[in-house]
Formats: sequence, C-alpha cells, structure tokens
Amino acid sequence: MKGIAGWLIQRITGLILIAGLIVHFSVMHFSGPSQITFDVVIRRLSNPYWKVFDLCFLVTILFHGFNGLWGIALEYIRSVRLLKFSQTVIVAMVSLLLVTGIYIIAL
Amino acid sequence: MRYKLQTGSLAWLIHRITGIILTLYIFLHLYVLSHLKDPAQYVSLMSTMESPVVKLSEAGLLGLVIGHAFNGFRLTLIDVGVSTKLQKPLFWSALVIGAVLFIYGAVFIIGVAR
Repeated sequence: MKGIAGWLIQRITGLILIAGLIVHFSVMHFSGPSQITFDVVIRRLSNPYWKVFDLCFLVTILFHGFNGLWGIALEYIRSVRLLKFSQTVIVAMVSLLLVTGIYIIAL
Repeated sequence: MRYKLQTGSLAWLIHRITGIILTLYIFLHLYVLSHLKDPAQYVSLMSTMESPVVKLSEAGLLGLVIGHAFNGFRLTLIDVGVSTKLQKPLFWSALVIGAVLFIYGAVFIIGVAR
C-alpha cells in the first residue's frame, strides 16, 4: 500500500498490535508452562471469543509485517520487474501464513 | 559525505531490522503451532523447546518485540503531533522502560526453564 493510507494503517495496526500483544503475551507466554499444555491450548482455541481474537491478531500482524516489508521493497528496489516479483513473493508469503493460521485457529 | 548516526536514525535502523526479523519469525511461530494437529507431536516439540538455547532465543525475541513496539509507539506519538523537541527524551525513556520490561520478561522466560 502506498502513500498516506499505508502510513496511517501501519500506525493504526501498530497500536492494535501493542494491545493484542499484551493479551497474547500475558495469556500464552507469561502464564507458566501449565497454560500451554496441549489440552489447555486446544480448549482455549475452541473458545469462539479466542477464535475471533486470534483471527484479528493474525490478520493485523500479517498486514503490519508484510506492509512493512513492502514499504522497504519500495524504498530499495528500483527495477519495476523486481518490484513486481517482490510483490508476488509477499502475496505468496501472506497467503501461506494466513492459510496456516486459519488452519490452526480452526483446530 | 558522512552520515552521523544519531538517536533518530539509530532508532529508524533498529526498527527496520527488528521489523524484518519479526515478520519472518511468524513463519516459525505458526510452524510450531501447526504441531497442535497431533497431541504427541506437540508434546515432543514442547519438550525440545525446554532447551536453554531455545529459551535464550525466546528472550532475544522478546527483546526484538519490545524494541520494535516501544520504538513504534514513540514514533507514532511524534507522528500524531507530540513535539519533535521531545524526540530524544522519548527515545531514552522508551529505551529505559523497554529495558526494564525486557529484563523482567527474560528472567521469567529463562527462569521457567529450570
């Protein structure tokens, strides 16, 4: 995404990610080993509220991360063909991660 | 022409590098989580992740996340109109608060391994 929209959405998704990270980290990564056993994780994943949270978190982080990479590509890559190619690679990576993420959320 | 590296440009460089690493890290994170499809696979992967090398990497990863998040918050504040005169104090306070959080988190991550 180019120009003001890309810049603005990057800031907004960044702020959303900070809020999401606080929840994600405190629940998944700083709650001790008993909270990430197979049963506990699967039970959490089957909760619809967590599914919504995880899906939003996934989409937001993929957008923010790969929009960032795209911004870097726009800055350094001069050749139009190479830029097209990097766009294709970014779209492929986002699709792969989105499908994998949704597969995990749907477990 | 030599470019003098100051807090602003240093923050910009750190933001860029941590951003690239964190984005590519999503692959690893989702790969690990994809083991949830099979309980045995998940349990065995989780036990290999108890190794000190993994714990140290996780602490390092926390450092990247905190660095990127705090710097991103700092530059968003400046973008929405907080005076650029506060640029340096904001940089140093982000660094100090981030460092405290990082040490707390790293001690937790590495401590749990024992």
